[in-house]
Amino acid sequence: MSEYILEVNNVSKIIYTDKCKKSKGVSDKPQGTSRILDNVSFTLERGKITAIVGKSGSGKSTLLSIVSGIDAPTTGNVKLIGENYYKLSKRKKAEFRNRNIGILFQNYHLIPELTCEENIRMPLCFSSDSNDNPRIDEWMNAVGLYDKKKLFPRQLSGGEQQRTAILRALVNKPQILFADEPTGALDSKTGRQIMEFLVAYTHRSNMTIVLVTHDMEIAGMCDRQIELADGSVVG
Amino acid sequence: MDGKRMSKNSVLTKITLFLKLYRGKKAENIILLLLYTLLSSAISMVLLVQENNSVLIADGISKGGFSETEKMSMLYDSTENILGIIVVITLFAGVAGVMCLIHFRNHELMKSMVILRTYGMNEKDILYKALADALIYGIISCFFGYVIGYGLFKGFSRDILGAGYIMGAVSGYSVLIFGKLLVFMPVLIILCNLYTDLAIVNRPIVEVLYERNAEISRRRLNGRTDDEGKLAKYIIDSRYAAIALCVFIMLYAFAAFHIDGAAFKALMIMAAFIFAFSYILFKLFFRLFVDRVRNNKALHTLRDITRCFMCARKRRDILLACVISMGTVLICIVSNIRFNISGILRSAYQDNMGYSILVRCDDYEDRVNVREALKEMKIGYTSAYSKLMDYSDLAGIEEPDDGGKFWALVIDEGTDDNTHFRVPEHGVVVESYFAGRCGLMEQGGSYGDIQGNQKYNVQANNGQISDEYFNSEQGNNRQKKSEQGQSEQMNIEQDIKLFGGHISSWQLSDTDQYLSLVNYNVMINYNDWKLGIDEEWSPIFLIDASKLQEKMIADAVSDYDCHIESASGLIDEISQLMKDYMRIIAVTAATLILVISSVFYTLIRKDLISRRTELYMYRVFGATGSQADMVVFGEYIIIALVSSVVVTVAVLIIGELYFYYGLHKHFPFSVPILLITAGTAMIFIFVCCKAAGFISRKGAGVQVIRDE
Ligand SMILES: Nc1ncnc2c1ncn2[C@@H]1O[C@H](COP(=O)(O)OP(=O)(O)O)[C@@H](O)[C@H]1O
Ligand SMILES: [Mg+2]
Repeated sequence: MSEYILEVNNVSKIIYTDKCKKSKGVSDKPQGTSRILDNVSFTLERGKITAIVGKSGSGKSTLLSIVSGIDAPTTGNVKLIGENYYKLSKRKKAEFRNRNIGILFQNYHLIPELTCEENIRMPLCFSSDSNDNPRIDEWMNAVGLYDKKKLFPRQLSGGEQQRTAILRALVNKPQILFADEPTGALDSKTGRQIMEFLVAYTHRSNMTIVLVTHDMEIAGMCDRQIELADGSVVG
Repeated sequence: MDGKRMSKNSVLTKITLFLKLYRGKKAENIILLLLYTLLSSAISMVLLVQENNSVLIADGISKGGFSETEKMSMLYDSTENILGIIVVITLFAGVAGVMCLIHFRNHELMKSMVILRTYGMNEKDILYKALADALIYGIISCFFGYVIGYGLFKGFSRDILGAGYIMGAVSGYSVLIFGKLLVFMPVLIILCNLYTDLAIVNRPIVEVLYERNAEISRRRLNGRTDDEGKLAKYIIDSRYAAIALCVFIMLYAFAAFHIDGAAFKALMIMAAFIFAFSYILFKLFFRLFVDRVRNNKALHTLRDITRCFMCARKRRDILLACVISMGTVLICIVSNIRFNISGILRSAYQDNMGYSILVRCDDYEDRVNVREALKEMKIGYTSAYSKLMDYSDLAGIEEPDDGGKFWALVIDEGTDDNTHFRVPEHGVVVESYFAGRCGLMEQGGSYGDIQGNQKYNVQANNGQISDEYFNSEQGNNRQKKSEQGQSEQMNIEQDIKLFGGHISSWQLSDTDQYLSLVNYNVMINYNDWKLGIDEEWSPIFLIDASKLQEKMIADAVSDYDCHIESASGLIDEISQLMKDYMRIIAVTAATLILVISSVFYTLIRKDLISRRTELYMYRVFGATGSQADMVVFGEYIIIALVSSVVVTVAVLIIGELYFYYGLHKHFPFSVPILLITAGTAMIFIFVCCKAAGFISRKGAGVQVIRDE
């Protein structure tokens, strides 16, 4: 097994901005395309928290979705826990995501039809080996969700929703957690609480976190910062 | 062993999870369940009626009374064919509607499904979801649908045929029909679910979560070889699910219903034609009006916003318009049959028989007066003489052992363009029984084997053959005679004398005369034979007249010693039978209308919900609630307006073409019914809009506050 948990090699993302792409085909037509990520390469070690920072529109979300396996790069490859992720079959990808990856979004993306507890338990339904996590109640108690477990997402506050999303991301004990501005929609106090919880959990369980933020205070709580500008790593 | 139990367990947890997702979709699921039930009740009812009829006819044949049974089966066959086709249409439309509703319901779950995917759901799990759906909803609806369908069948049969005509309650076929249904509904539900869910599952995750298009990555992913094998790829693609659904319904329709392949084919061609026609027309409309106006006009009123939306969703709107017009055309045809059946039958009769009234002079001398009276009214006619003759009157024909009598018809003059009673020069037209008795066929072969194995259905009308409406349904593959065939036949030399004349060429007629007012065993030309027509012959006049003229003629000839027979009575009898069947069709049509209205309602409501923020914004900036709603409704109302105009024109043209070329007959559509249907289609969509608006506004009060 490789010593790095995440290896990003020469990842580029090109999108077509012009409507003419359909008639002209995929030929090199610089005017119609725009390069959101330009040869991004970096590696991450296990057990560390890394912040991707940069101005709005610099390509942070795009990079995060590529390394977390929900969007494919145009060129380059991504190695997650030693596996070349985008070379896996669809079935293997799904299994890999379920077992090893947790994802958090800025607007939580809880499933509105499921209650708080059901949302948290959802990833368990798709895991092939263990079908239960005995510590869910304990965790919910720890983050103060135990009383609210029968409520639906729309009945929860923003902080509660994000805590639900965090427990959902952690329920399968992933090795790496990706978070796109996890505190972006919360006030600074609630945001800090969430970050403290994540930092504590990481240190306890040797999980790796990659998060995107533009909040310098939160970036300061991380072990390492990667700065993006116009789709390239600058620091 | 342990692993197996574990995976079984996980399938169950998955299914429970999927069913939990439906928690927020109670209304949709109830509507769906209702529609499934209606669909299965309509299907089971029709299958039961058809099965019962075929049992009845088989029963009748075994009990003897052949000709009566034949007549009955002929009527049943033709009505059943119409019934079968309408039900197959309903089946298609109903399935399309159900598919739309399932699509809408599943589509609203798209975000949830995508989140499930980020946490490890894969394509196989979609199958579990479809299975859960099919097992629960499919089986419930099957059961209730069959019960309702059976009740309807019993009710109708009792009304139409009397209590004694219903076959046993739990006979073999009713169990079989339930079995058919039990296969149909779950498979339908599974395929419909697969169609949308596979499309959702194959969508790139970022596309949904970040609402950005990810076309490149999709293309790239497709380029990669999936090591799960090619088969999986074929099964996975939702288009294959759609094709599988079509094939499945087609097979089911042919296997389960008694439908006439030719009529079905013609119908399919018509549907494809209407679709293509309206597609092109709407495309043109959008290019000419919507696009141009948008490019040349700035935004001034709320109506301009509607137009912008129509531009943005052109493809959807064009498709919607096509569907509306096809639906309206269908309803138009059905309502024409429903409300104008005797008109249609009457003109079909006139076209096929060439006349609708027969004036028979009881007094030989009155023929001159009647002729004068008709000429005065400028009504065209074919005059003839009819007589019941003895076989012994035929010179040159060996008298059959048992003597007997036959009907002779001598055609005198035709002042109308009726070709049905035209006999070729020096020819005769004989009916098969007569031909058989008089040896007017080659020895050894049956009547039909004069030339090879061809069986001729001859009516001497200048090489143009019109097969009879009611006979054409009978399914005996009677071959139509080509013009070439006719000339060949003319060359047959027969050394036979008939009525003292020498026949050099002759023709045989196989025409069944069930529905004809005048019967004949042999038909000849007056001019060719110069028979001594005397008072023993009764002069008859065959007239093609409308119902109005019928009365006039009756008045005109009332002074003379003659009587009138008209096809009206016969037509009334048939149309009554058809109307009874129409009540069965009405149930399927009601299903159809319910399906369509719920699809529309759901479509518009979905639009209102997904554009709630936008509508809220209009209101924030000063529009009233109904003004804001009009932005959404405008789109649908314009579509409805355009498609009902198109429909009116299309039906007028295509309907005539179809009946004229497809069925070789003229089935006139009643224009008022056409206009009413087109108008109703518009009002219907307007009402759907209003209902959706009303209900969503009632619900909106609570939801707007607690929205992200
Ligand atoms: N699918 C897409 N289509 C068009 N533009 C895109 C797409 N994806 C990303 N972009 C553009 O790429 C840039 C980077 O976006 P993003 O990664 O969301 O930035 P960040 O998260 O750092 O604010 C933005 O300018 C955005 O407009
Ligand atoms: Mg972002």
